[in-house]
Amino acid sequence: MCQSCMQHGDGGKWYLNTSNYALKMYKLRQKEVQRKGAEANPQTMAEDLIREAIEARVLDPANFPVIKKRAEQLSLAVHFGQVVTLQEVQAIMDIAWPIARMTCACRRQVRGLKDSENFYCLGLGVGMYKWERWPETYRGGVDFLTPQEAKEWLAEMNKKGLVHTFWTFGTPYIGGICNCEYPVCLGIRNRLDYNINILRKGEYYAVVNTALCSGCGRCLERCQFGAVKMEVSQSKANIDAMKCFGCGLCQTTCKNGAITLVDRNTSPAMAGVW
Amino acid sequence: MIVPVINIDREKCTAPLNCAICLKACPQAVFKAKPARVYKFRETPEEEYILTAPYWPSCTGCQECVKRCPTGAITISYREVPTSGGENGNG
Repeated sequence: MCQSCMQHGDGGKWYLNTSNYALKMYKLRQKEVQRKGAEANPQTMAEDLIREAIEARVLDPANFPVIKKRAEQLSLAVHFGQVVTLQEVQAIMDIAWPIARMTCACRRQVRGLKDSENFYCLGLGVGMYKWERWPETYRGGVDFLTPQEAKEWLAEMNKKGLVHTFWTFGTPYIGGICNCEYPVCLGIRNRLDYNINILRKGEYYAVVNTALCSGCGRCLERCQFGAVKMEVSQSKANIDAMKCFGCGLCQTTCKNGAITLVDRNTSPAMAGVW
Repeated sequence: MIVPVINIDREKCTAPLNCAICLKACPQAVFKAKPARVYKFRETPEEEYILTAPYWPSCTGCQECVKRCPTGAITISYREVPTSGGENGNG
């Protein structure tokens, strides 16, 4: 079980624990952020440290592990993410309120996407009632959704091939959901290219049942993490469990039901791999 | 080890969010356009967005950004840095 589940889980998965979406948690979080002297957006609090780590990886490799650790620890405290499956993110829609569809800051900044084409994220919780105070964060405005509308929209995002992630805004308060992809999602980018872990793997990893796999290859292009490949000599999909983030995009596209998501905690080798 | 140095002339690059040509052109997604400041009650005006290149270690030197920039604000040069013996990201 990961540290977050132990500290904030209340006996289960911490991101399905309703207290982490509650008003009380949000208020506590606000005081904390102000105490740290930052009126800032938690999304940018760790930015400088992360940038330092990126540069250190190439320019100062001896110190990279130390800087990386500091960047990760700050992120863990203020703003980090975790991958969840479609089912889990839909379950979150029944716990969080209100739910507001908003534009994606990563895509705006990395690809300059116009607001009208950039509604890929969800803002969760009571903080959303104050969205008008921060038009920059909510560029393009917001659409408040019912849980049912949100679940349907998330299913569409899954169909498109985007990874569902949730993000803390003052851990353990979970304030946002994104539908991510490489390289625009800075969480996935920092992790895959620079080994800076601000996006945790999900609770599952994908396994192929080779008896059912037809070798059609549909799953290959779904993986944003490079974990799925075609093993040519077997004509079967091969999934590297160590690279797998458990997003389930391969599973949701498989027409033969050949892919299952296995709980990470069932294997000692996989349990601590975040 | 040779590393790229991406130089952005901010006199020439004035409204990166409007333009976004290099942001879309770069296959390695090196660039990021960030708001210089986040204001309460209003959006950051587009002229207050700044172009940065935080993922410069991922630059392959393809020069698409240099070629496509309408104002010629981007130049790429190279410099030598000590080669590491240990963990090395892009060498």
